[in-house]
Amino acid sequence: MGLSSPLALLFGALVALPIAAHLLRRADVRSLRLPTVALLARAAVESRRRPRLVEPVLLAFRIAAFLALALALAAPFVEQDLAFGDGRLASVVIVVDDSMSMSRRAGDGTLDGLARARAQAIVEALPEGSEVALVGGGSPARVLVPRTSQRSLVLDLLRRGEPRAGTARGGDLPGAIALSGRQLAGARHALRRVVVLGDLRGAALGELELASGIGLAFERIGDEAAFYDAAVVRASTESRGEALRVSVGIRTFGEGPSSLPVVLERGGETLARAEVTLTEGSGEALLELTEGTLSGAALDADPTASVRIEPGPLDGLAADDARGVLLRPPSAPRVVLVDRTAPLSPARFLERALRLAPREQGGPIAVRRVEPAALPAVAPATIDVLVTLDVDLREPRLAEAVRAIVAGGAGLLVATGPHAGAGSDVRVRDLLPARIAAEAGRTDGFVRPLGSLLPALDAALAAVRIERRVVLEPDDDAEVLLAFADGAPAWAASPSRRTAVVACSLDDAWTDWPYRPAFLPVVVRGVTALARPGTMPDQPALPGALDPLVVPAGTRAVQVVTPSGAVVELAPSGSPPAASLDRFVDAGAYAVSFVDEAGQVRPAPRAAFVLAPDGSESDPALLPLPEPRGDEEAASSGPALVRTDLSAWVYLLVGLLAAIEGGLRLRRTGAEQPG
Amino acid sequence: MSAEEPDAGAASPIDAETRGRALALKIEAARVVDGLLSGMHKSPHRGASVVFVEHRDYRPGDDPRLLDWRAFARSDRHTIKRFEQESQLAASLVLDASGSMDYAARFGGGPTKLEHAARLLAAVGTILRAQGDAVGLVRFDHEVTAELRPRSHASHEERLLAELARPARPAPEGRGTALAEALERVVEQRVRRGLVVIASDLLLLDAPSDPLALLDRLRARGHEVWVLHVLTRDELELPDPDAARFLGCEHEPPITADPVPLRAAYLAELGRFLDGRTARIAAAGARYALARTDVPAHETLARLIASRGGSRWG
Repeated sequence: MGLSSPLALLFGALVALPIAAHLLRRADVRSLRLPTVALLARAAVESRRRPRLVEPVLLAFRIAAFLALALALAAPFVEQDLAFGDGRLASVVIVVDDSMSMSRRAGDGTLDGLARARAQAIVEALPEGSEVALVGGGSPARVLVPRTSQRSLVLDLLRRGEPRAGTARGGDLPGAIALSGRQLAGARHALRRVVVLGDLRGAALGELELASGIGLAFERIGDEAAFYDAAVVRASTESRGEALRVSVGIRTFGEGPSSLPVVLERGGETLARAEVTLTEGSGEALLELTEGTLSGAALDADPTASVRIEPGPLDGLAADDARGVLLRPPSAPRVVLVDRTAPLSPARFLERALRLAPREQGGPIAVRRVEPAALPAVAPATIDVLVTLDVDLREPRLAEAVRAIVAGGAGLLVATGPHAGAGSDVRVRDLLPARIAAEAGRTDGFVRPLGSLLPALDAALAAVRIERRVVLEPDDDAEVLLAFADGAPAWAASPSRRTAVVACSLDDAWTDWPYRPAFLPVVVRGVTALARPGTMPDQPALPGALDPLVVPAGTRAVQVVTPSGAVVELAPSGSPPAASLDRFVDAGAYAVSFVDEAGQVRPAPRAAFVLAPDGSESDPALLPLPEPRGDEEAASSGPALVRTDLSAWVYLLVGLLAAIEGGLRLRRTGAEQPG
Repeated sequence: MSAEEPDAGAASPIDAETRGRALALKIEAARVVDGLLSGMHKSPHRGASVVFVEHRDYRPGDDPRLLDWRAFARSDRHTIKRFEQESQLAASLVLDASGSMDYAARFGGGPTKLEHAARLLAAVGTILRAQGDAVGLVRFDHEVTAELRPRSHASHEERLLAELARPARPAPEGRGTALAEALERVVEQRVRRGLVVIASDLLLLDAPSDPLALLDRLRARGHEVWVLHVLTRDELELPDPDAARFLGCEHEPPITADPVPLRAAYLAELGRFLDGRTARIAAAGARYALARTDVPAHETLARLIASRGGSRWG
């Protein structure tokens, strides 16, 4: 409590008046003799049961009244430390950065713990009736608790330790802020605020998308001290014959050493070691695994390993000192392209596209081209996806080879063309999801009728020009992934059989599609979708960026062994059956096994996967605290000092005390009246 | 026997008006009394008075002069004729001169309780002296300070009045009121049955045992006991409304109190005190009268004489 006019407290000296009067009155008390004083003493003892200390009570009320008056004149006020806001009803979205860098230790806890505590304080500071939502600021940004007036929902989540900084999460504060803006659309209260709680280190936030009228404020969690950080920012496996090499990239931020030792570990065993020389904070090492060092059987069973900076430097961020790596041959689909021998091969565009496939889509994809006549000589087990490009499959030996390869578990994509028109599929018709019925003429662009598999490239697909095509008659169980502008199926697939037919050529014979930006993502996704199930990319992924793990037929459950050694069993669902891996957010390599219907557990080394944070998460560069946005009141988010004037209440108290004092005095006067 | 020589020059405790009004009163013992001389009071001994009591058969040893010859003539039986013997009353006046008695009411003025008690007892003595009865005195405060055996001659009356008029002595600390001792003297020395008149405020609140237990012994010895309970208006009403520091008269611990809120509790306490005293006195078969100092002494006496104590004998 404070006072606006402290000098007015001097009026408190007036309290001396009633005290002096009381003392004078006491000093003026006469001494009387009374023979029956013993009876009076007994009466005094008796009357203690119902004391009527009128004089002391009167004095107390008078003193209190004078003191209260002096206090009222001094204009008292209270200042309330609110954890957030000014006590008004508001709709607030709290963005908690749960990216990897928030796992940094701070005192006895971690930054994400501090962020949760701060979020809790903010929620608790909001007056009853306010709305609140909770958004995770790690990548991918996501709504953890939609906007609600039940603050307990948010508090319960925070008290359970969520959101937790996943050590494999990158940051996506811009995405989280955009999500927050959408959460506040239609909010009940005019005062709308977004509060971002994060360490605010690393890459700049860039342009932020937020509707006007919404206050945006940032609060830095943790200190602003600069610290040194060393991180394994890259670890990838390359196979060369029977040998494996692990390529490691090291990066240091801040003042660090000139070299760092790194080791490759697997199950507590050191497989390789190297000293990485750092130049301008960066360095690379190649850890070679020779025969005898690595057991092939073990490799088949569990390919998970990790690359770690050794010994762990005393840097500020421990989560990025190690990185998962998979010690196995590349798990990317092995695609065999069958086309006619010609100067301008129909496969030239697809081959290039597959080789350019991005890592997050399983790239680079291993591609081989074979002539139709050579296909029977190719071992079916070495093919994951067979693609025939403008090849007439009525040739018996070729059709037989295709059947054998598909029977061996490979997927099949048949691309039509000038030489693979109507009727070219008669010998493999039962394998395909649609019949190639007839040839048709020109149409403009594709549409994406279902969009369950192919990426959202509607504008790019619509711009494609198709000069010629075939008419497909899909089977009942076929899924049309692409259609021509006139509605005719353009890409029919059978998820269960993992075969597909494309109604136009995948070169420039009938269409300009290969020259269009929509070509690469569509064909890469379309081809890889046909690959054998139970395969995960070699490249590390961010949480939420992993496609569901499609499991082989007859798989009852998926067992995942996390980097910490915990075993998590997942139940596949959907068609084709797949297990979502979104729950895994910690960095490292995850081993996978499939449990069949008989309960037998079969290791699936090609299904192992790695989660790792974005390398930029390791950058501890301090971002300047962004300026609040929105109106001034809405933008203020930090602890606020709210001052409330108490003068009126104290004056009321003075009146009350005076009234009580008057009442007591009247009562005493009445008691003194004779009779 | 006097414990102290009385001040010969002390003023009379009774004024002329009170004396005059008292002389209009007549004290007659309600109980039979023993007296050396004949008087107006009933005696337990049958004798030569004119009041016939009964006939009874003659037994050897009876005075032949008491034979009723007329009855013998009528019934041929020797019959003794008995008469009631009237006796002189021997009265003991017991005066409480303790510290608490040396108090005059602040409201309404008036005498101190001691003066009023002395006046009351002087009036009793005057009445009895006028009736030819013998009057003695026991005066006490924290001890017995004077003791006059009952006499009826004139010089004794002067001495008795002088003893009554003597002022109070300062009360020493730690000494109680010697009422029990005074009554013990009466019990021990008054062999004959007579009248005992006690004037006291009976403020014996710290007495370890029943201070009025001697009343029972007095009554058991055949004495008639009158108690004049002398109190002031201050004690009875606590009229002062202002806060005060109240001091006792016999070194009681002082208390500072606002009597207004305490008044009801005090009056209740006083009521219990008075009820207790009157009940105890009634139980002993004595007469009781509250003698307020603001009420004329002759009125109190008239009320006391007219009253009938809770006597077992009537």
